[in-house]
Amino acid sequence: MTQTLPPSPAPGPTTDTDTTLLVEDLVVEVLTEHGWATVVDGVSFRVARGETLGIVGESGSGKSVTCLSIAGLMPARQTRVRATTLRVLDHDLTALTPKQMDDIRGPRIAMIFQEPMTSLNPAFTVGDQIAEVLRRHEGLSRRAARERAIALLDRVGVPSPERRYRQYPFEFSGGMRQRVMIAIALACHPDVIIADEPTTALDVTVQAQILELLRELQREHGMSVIFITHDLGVVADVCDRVLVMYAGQIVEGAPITELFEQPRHPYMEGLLAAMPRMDQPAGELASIPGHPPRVGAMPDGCRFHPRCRYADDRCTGGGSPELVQLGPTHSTRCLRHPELTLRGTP
Amino acid sequence: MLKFFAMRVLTTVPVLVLVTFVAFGLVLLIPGDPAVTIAGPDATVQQVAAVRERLGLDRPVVVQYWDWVTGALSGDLGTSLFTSRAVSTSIADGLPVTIALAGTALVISLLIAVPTAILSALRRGTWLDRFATVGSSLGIALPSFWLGLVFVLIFSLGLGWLPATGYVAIEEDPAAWLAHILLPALTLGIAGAAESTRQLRGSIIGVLQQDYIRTARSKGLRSRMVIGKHVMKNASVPLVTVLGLQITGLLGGAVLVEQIFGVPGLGQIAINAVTTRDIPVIQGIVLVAVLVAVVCNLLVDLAYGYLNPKVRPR
Repeated sequence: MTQTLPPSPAPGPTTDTDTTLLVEDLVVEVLTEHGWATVVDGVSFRVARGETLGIVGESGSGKSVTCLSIAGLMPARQTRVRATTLRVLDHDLTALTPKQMDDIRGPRIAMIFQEPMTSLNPAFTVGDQIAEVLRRHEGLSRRAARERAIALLDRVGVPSPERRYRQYPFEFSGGMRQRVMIAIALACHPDVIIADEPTTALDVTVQAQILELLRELQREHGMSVIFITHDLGVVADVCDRVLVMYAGQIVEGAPITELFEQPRHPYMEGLLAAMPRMDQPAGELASIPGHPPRVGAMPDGCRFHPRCRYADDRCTGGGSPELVQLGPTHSTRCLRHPELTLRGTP
Repeated sequence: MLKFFAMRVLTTVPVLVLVTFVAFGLVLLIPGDPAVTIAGPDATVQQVAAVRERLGLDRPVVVQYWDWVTGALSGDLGTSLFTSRAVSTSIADGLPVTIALAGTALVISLLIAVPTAILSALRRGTWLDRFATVGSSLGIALPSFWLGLVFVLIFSLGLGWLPATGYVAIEEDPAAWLAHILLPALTLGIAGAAESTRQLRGSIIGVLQQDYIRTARSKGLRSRMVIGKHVMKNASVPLVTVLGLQITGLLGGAVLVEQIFGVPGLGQIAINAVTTRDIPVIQGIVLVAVLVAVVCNLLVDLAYGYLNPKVRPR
């Protein structure tokens, strides 16, 4: 299964087998009308085997761009991606040619996208779109790929898979299409699955089923999952650890319970306060005032300060504050974190 | 798919019936009496009447129509008023030539259009893309009679590579056939190539932005697979529409190009028939031309069914 992969470079100083994905100082620039603009600014994180890492943030915070860049899926001519380290197991992605990246996508990194209605090609049968991954990466015959694809459809909970194999995407409901997307992502047993808002476009009941399916499959295969979402409810449901992104930077990172109970960045506090809750009377829903900064027009100092209720003189000037490690697992980019006691959710 | 095919074939029947009305109606619409024309300016009334009786023009129109249609169904389209050859024989001589010309023109235009459109869509905004865009504007704007003459000047008279006129049947000598048909086909096909390039470039650019193309890339498929399979099958739909329209245009354009290059196709027969008011020949050619157009449209619709599964009935 790994024979089509390029030879791994000499093992780095530390390649602990527990880390499936290691990202250090990822910077992504995109070409806009006004020239190159930085949309992801120095993002670093690691994902352990079997772990589910959530990345939350508003639209435009750079969470999708981060993941698409890792997978090498940003449009090449309008994007510049730099990173000190970008490593999946012991494959150094920064050293790979586009052709070698083709061999990584599928068996190493797989993706599930937000829009199940448009993410499948309308002109090919669902079965063909699953089987082609297997034919491409595992060199299976048409017949063998078909059998595996039918088994995959069955595993992700598509009823009567043999009949469904021959059908086209328009004959599937949204939830069923997302199951097909999961089957495609799962086909070559990837080490890392990146799920970019996989349930946002689905009904709530279907949403719960898909999340449950993802959880089951992760347990079965021991994959790492990166879960991109803006829905804190989903985050609380599935993630072990969460990174909070704002304006292209990670502003806070912590294990899920810690983050919810004791947020250390005002942005996260704001997100939690804006989350609708059953035990609160309706109508008291808070929202964070203002809008996130536009790309290419980042405020001086802390990027969140124009919207922050705790901001003072220290926050408004100088460069962007550094991400500070508060403990082995918790980090924040807030300058005032020692003096602030932020409200979490019990 | 079979049901779709059968349905589609059945729906062409009313069209064909309508076409026989129109083709036959030509006799009634053309001013003057064909019997008078044939008998000549000095003919007596008796002579004209004799001609009319010989041609069956004195019978009721409905009877004439019925005779013509039943004849046409058995392959008998009547006899030329002037050469006394069977119309079906003339058409059988000219039609394969015209079809070969139009077919080759179509192949050439696709050979130009598909690679150019893919390259310029993938390298949007580069000099190559701009060159292709300017080229296709020129291709659409330049008239074929001028282009044909320029090609003759360059490739026949100047370089002496290809013959300027004439035609050799493919079964006689394939190499000579190709040499003779290349210039006319290029002349005929270039406008279509330009139009197809434009259309296909636009649709490829549109398809490239679709989510399912990102999905295809996320599977690690090779670039040529993403383009050749996932992009092209979707981007071909507008191209097929354009091709369907072009095919009828090619038949019309062939008339002109056959004249320029002296190719003995249906176009030359048609021009002769029209100038001499040889009505049975005109009727036969109109009927055959429409048949070809109907068959091509049928093929286009079947192609839709293949390209877009939603069109197929279930």
